[in-house]
Amino acid sequence: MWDKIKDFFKSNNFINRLDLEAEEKVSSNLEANIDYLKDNLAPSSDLVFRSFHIGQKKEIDAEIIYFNELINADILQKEVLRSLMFDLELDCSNRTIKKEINDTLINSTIPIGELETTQSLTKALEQLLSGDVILFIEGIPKTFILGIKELEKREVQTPQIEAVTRGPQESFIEPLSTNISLIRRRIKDNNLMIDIKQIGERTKTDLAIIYIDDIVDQDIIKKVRDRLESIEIDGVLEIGYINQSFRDNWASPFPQFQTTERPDKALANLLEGKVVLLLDGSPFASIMPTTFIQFLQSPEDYYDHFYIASLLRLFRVAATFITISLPAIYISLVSFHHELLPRELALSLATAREGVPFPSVLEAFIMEISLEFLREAGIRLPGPIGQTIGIVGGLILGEAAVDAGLVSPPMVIVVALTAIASFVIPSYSATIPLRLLRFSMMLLAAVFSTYGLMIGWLLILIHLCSLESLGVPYFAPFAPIKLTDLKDSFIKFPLKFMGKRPESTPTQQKKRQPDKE
Amino acid sequence: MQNKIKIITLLLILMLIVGCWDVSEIDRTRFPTYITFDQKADDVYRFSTKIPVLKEEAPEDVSNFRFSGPSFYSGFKDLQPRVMGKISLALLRIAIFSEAVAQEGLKPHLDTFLRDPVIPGSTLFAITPGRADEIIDIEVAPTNDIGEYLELLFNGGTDDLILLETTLNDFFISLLTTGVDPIIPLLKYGTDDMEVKGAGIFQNDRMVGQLSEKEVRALTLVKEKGLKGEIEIKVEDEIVNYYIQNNRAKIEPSSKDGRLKFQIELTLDVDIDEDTNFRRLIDSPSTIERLEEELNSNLKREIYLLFDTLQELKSDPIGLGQITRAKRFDLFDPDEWRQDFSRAEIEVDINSRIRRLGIAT
Repeated sequence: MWDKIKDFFKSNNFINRLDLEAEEKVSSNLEANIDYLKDNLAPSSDLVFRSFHIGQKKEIDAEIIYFNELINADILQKEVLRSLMFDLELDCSNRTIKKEINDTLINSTIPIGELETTQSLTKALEQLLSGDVILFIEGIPKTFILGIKELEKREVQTPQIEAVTRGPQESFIEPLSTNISLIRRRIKDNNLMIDIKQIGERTKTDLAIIYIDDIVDQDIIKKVRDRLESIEIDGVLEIGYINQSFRDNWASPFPQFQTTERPDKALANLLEGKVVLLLDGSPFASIMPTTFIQFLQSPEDYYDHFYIASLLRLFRVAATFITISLPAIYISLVSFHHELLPRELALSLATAREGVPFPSVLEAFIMEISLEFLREAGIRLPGPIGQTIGIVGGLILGEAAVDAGLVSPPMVIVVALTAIASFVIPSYSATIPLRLLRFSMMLLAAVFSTYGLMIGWLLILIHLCSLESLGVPYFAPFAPIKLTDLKDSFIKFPLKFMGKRPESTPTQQKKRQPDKE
Repeated sequence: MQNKIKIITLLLILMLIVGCWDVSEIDRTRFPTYITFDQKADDVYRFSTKIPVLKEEAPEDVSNFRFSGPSFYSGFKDLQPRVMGKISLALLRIAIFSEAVAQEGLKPHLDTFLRDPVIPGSTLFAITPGRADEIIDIEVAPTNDIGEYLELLFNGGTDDLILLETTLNDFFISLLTTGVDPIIPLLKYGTDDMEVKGAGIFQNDRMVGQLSEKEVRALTLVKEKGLKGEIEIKVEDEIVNYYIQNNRAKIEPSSKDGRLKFQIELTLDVDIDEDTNFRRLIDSPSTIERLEEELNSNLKREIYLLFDTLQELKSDPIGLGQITRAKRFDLFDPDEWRQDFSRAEIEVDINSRIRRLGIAT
């Protein structure tokens, strides 16, 4: 049935596709090249065609084309136009003029680092759209591509979502080059591979595939490349597009790839044989393959003492359980299984619920949905107002609801505890499916009580065991069991015991450090 | 496809309805905390209970109910229409039987207790010599909830040696295990207080006699391990209070002249909490030895007295039969056990050791 649905979407052209045009060659005729570009580019006010003459004698026509909002105009004028128009001395009677211009331009006239030539007009067009300046010269069947783009960007800032108390305080930002530099400067390994591809038929967004060549399993790299090839999409605006297209199981609520805004986390994963994808315009890196337990790991676990790290890991496991189950447990105990409660607690809950007009399941849904509203409102509103909304919503609204007798105080405690627990989990993307599952569990508990809870948890565990991320079992090291990987799971062993890379992810080198002789 | 959608929709709706069948919101449920059982009159048993009132503005904290019926469940069923909300025995703390009911046999009353999974296995049992339903009128100082009061009375007691606890689980385990009989504490009450004093001993589910406080103490020392508690003994007209820090009992069954013999070795670690003869506080080996000997001989006498009562009533709450079956299966005859037990020779050896005399400043 799902195949039919997929076919339906495909046949209805929900994904825009561009027909690939046949590759055009650069002509020696300047006009022909300009005409080609004008034909293939929509008229745009920021697109500049600048005609000029090369050399002091002004005998050779040239055209420089660029988008004026994407380039550094200062460098263009001072280092390119000035050099070409005034500094270049050419003898036009010389038959070797074409070769001379070519060599002179590249070797001595234009003092910029990123300078390449191409004979393909299609590539020239692509580079122009990426923000490069292209230069055509009459009589030369080649385009010069000048890399002097200058894009607006913000400064590298502290991580907003994955904040830590200890550890680097840098996060990725939007430009790909900055993000690559954040990784590259942390690792001086000649095996670090950064392969940049363009993705999106229209947006042609740069995507960097980053891995350490002698660690990563070649099958994983092949899978990444194959899946990238198979993506048919008109535009990629965020790394989430790639993650969604890559998923082994598209219907699963669990994220099958990690996203991080932390360069140190990305690097740690590279060292474990994983692949990191960086997309131009996205301040998040995607890490693949990934396992479920990684969502409960925080970078500072590796920076702190292992006792503290292990304790915090156990807290996170408990928080995961609470996030999914606490309201459901409350419902099943209050509505069905009073005998499972200690006597004093049962009487206290009964007294607190006296007068509440809703059954506990409805009460729980009202409170949980209100909390989700508050959470969403807090995100959308500007910082200070968002915090105020949180306080107003959490304290005043909660207290008012209790005073009005709409909800019972224990329910407020349960909802608050659940919300707090959901924030304990370090990965924001992992908390979203947990929030979703919480509602399903509440419904199951309301219908089947504790049996429902058990059924729910069994289904979750079965699903987690069946999931894969790029062919790697998602619930490893628990299923399949990998004993050596358990030392970095619910608890974390000291670093001295972690000489080997995790077995869950296949790698070329199992040991982190070769044996010293 | 449309049919599939219809079936899924119907199943979802049905699923939601299923929840309504068993749902019992906690605030719409009433929880009796204790139940008393009294003997038959006019072919019906009499029961009483108190149910806490949850509404804060209610004039009374608890509601008193007396009900009757040919069996416990019949009476309980008749009580339901008189109570606002569904009655649940999920929080039952204690069941109190009159002596007459206990002598008649508890099995018929406890069938519901065995079948209903919501009744906690930790529900305490007690027997009262008089009428059990009079407990409803006792006004104890700390609370109106007699169930809560009794539970605290049992669980909050410091002297574990005479405060015997029997739960629903304990009772059924003893009842259904070959070679051990149940024992239930005796609860005596006045107008405004209650006291646990002694215990009722059983042959199967019928109470056949009573044990005094000292006998209960001797029984718990032989039966249980790792106990703590006070023992008061008169030594040369002075009072000595021993505090048992730990006890270990070893029971070895054997056969002698065609009858069973039990060798009971009791080892005690004790402190001296009080000695009214001041001189004995001096740490001298001979004094300590003397105090140990006094304790040994007193306890030995108490244990022999306990076995006299148990053998006379042919009741085995210690579980000597169970021990014999485990250690000397050849000596255990389940059909003749009571007879064998009543004729058995008992030999007790007590070895107490005083660990601390107190700290003098």
